[in-house]
Amino acid sequence: TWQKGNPLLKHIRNARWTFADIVPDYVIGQSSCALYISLRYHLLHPDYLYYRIRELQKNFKLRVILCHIDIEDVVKPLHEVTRTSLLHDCTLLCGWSLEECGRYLETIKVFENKPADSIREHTDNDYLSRFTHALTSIRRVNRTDVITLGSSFG
Amino acid sequence: GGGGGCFLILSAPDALKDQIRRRLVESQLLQVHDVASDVPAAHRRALYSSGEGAALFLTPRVLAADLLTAHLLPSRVQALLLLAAHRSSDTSADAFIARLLRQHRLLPVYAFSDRPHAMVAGFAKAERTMKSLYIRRLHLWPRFHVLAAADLERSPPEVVDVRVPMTHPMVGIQAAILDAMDACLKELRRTYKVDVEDLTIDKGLFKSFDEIVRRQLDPIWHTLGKKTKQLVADLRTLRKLLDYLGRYDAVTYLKYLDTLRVSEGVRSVWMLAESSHKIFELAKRRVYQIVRPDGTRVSIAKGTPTKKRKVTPSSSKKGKETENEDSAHNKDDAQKVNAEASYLLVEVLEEAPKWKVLRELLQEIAEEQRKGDGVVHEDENNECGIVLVACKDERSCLQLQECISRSPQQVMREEWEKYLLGKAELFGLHKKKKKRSQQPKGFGILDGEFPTGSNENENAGPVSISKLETNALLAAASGISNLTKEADAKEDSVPSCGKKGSVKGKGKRVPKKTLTKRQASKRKNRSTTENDSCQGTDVEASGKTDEQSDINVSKVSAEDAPAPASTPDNAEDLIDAKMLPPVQFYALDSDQHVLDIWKPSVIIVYHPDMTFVREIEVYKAENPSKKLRVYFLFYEESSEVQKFESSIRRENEAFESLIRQKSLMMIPVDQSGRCIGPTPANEPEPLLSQNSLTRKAGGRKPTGKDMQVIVDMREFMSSLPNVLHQKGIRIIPVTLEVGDYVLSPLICVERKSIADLYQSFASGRLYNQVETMIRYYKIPVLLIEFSQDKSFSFQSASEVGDDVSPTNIISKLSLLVLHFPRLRIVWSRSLHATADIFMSLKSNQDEPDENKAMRVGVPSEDGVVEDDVRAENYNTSAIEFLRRLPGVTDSNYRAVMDGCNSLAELALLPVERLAELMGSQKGARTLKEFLDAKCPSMIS
Repeated sequence: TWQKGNPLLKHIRNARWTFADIVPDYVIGQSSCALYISLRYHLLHPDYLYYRIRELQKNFKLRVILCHIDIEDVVKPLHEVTRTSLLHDCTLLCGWSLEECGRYLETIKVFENKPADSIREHTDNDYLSRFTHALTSIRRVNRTDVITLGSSFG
Repeated sequence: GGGGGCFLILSAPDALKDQIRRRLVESQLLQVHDVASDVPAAHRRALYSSGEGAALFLTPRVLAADLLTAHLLPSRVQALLLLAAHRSSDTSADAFIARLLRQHRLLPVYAFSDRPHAMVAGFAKAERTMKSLYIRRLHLWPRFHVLAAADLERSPPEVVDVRVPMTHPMVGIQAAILDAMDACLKELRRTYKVDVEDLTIDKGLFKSFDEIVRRQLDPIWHTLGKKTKQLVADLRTLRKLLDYLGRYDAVTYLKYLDTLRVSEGVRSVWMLAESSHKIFELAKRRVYQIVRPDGTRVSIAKGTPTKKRKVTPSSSKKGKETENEDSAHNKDDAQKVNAEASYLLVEVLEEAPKWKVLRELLQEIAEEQRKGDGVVHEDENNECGIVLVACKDERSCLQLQECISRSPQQVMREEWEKYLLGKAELFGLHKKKKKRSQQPKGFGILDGEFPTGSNENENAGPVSISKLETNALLAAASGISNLTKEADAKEDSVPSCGKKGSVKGKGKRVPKKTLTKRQASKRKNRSTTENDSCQGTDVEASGKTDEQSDINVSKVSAEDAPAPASTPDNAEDLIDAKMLPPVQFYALDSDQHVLDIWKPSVIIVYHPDMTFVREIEVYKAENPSKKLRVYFLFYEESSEVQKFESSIRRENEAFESLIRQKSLMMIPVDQSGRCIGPTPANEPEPLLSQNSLTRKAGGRKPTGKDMQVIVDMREFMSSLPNVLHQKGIRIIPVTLEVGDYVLSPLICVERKSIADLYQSFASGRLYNQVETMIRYYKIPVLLIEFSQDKSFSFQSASEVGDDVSPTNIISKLSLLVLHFPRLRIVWSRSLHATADIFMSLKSNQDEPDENKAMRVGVPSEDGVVEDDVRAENYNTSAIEFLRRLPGVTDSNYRAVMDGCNSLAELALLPVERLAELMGSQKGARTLKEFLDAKCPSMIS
């Protein structure tokens, strides 16, 4: 219920959501939850994140800290947030707009049971794209060159 | 000299290496060794410690690692020489090396640069570079320096500036390209994202233009729309087109445009503009024209379906505008009739105007040399008046060679036939596919198969024209392929090149390829050329054979060069060729310094280039007694002239700016290495010592602790090890099988720059890397490192889109964290931020153990502990290539590498052997099929 009035909710459109009395900011699935923090807020309340994390129990396998980068001078506050998340077993994800932050929550929900195929080694069966893929690993070879090479050497 | 210890020479390009080696060997001052990155560590160590002074060429990556592992002791080093100072910065590897060395000893560092404009790119670049390399004095030697000028102008070469007018279509194309560029620039300005002042056509001619634009746009790249990004890419394409206009023959140019249309067609902005239409049209007109049967030309054309050579290229008519001259012009045009569709393909085959001029020049030179024969003989033997023709690239060299040894017409015709055959093959393939899917069509009916033509209506303007055109091209092509077959057949029966069917075909294309190779490995292998007389590499005045034979340059006399010809054209060529002086061709691209070797007395700069001009000046100054005449061939009023002139201006401006900067420079006088640098706390560490020793040394640093980080060898390509070292962390280079950095026994980091991140997500590699990291470490970390001068974000809010798209980086990251909830992600703004985060993450942890880290993930069946040599021993880009081949995976690529010496060898392995290496029949078959597959046509 911390999140009432968070404009981020406006941007969650691809998944259903509801308010509830929960410890994390968002419970995304059976085993995943998320805490939202904006860097601006963190600058004002440097201890906030730590206390919120401490409240979370170990019930969740995936604990996301969703960090909204909403200031210019990020290095120091981001460093602190990074350190806190890392040392307390949380996964840090950064978004540069409310849209982006909302999208992370949506995506994690939507992909909850999705296999990792799209980020694993894929075997694309189209010859040309494989050929291009291999040749472009060489620096200075671009797509046009690939076609030129392909048509000259067959 | 003296003292002992070695001179370390970093980042020398091959050509420069050769030159330095030659001079050092001549003077017998020092031994020279090239320490390539694949020299085993033990061997390197031997070289470092080999008694008397030696000059060692090294790569920064290897040297940095060797210094850190104490394979090389700073005390063994006499001086450090950097040959590409313009590429240094405080985070670069050479600065790292300078620091590692200077920590121990105040040995001298010398840095050189021959790129004045690169030294002024960015704020106070020269000064910052000097500071990071511990250099106190800056010496500037501009061309306009009194001493430099005096030296170079004492006996200047005779310079002849030849202006060659371009043909009308060329002028037209150039104007159209400039129009298109201008339009792109205007469009770019309208985005208000770039500094207008820098965006001029003049600057747009140079490669550095891209850098200017990128530097301005990089920080906001993510906020740019697709269109702006495309504009930047388009400008690059257009610049290339402009460059190629003067460089390639008409047919090749058209071919390039064709491929461009296939690869860029849909996306690019300029392609749709009117001027681009003009470019394509004009480029086509330089090669062929399509004439309707009701046009004026028909009557003449119909009677003469035979092929003839066209002679007057320079007049370059554009069809309808020149109808009155048609009769005269047309007779010479080769023409074809296609009975089926009743239209005509008229070959134009415009020759590059410079070709003719070059021939004339050579004849002129030959004549003069004959007249002044006495003078020539007075000179030393070696100076028998070689003419050096300098072109931009190898290809132009070969083509010019052919132009001279044979005839320009022949060369054009060959290119044209290749072009047509290419077209035919393309459509042939395409047609086959179509036939299979649809009902078979009659032969020669290609309606609707032209890629852009969907309209079946014959009379519908442009569509039918393009159809006609395609048909005409194909008809011409089939004519040629028949001829080729005939020629082949004849060649089979009569094994000589003296056939009337010298109408090429196989016989001549093959030697061309071999020529390319030979050209590359030139110099000593030259004598082999003598045997295959048909290939005519060099042309020579027949009278001078004796004198020349003692140079290691052998030639083929002109008579043997072209196939004994039956046409009067060729007879003429023969006479011409006999009169030509000995000619050498030189590709500027090859970046070799040939002037000292060939000692030419005449240089024809076919493609004017600033750097080469400077080279000529130096050559002349070093050989003041030698007569030298230099011809510059410029296309009149072309971008070529403009580019050349502005490159001179650019050089001067750069030097003026450097002189100003030098007067304002603030280099600390007492720069002694110990007190300078970003971290004064960075005291020398005893690199000799093993862990135990350094541990004892703890407490000397303000951090109160001697931190160490284990770094994968491959990471020395990046600047992070350098920056970590700047912060006072001890770097231990080893070859890591898992991860890039090991911060503690628990923490292992895989580092990804943004480009790497996208790439490794796409290839699936990241998934594998994370998977193994999770298996072996308690705290596996993915470091996403942004670049300081680029924007800190993936995309703009507007690019996020309305729906979850599986290809978006957000989706990929989400999927990754869902599958690896234990993975920790570190987001870093910059290199320096990364270093700080590393230090803070380490602060409560034990120091990592290098021996343990090294063994992690190494397949145990190997038995042996990995030696650090291993990673260095392979060509990393070849590995990357290999990894991308289908069937090759993270688990089997090592075995594949061990099973063959090169990619070329891999391609020849039989399936069974592949299966053995890869441990899978299926994978082996996939790979084999891929390697053997024919490249599909561009249309697919």
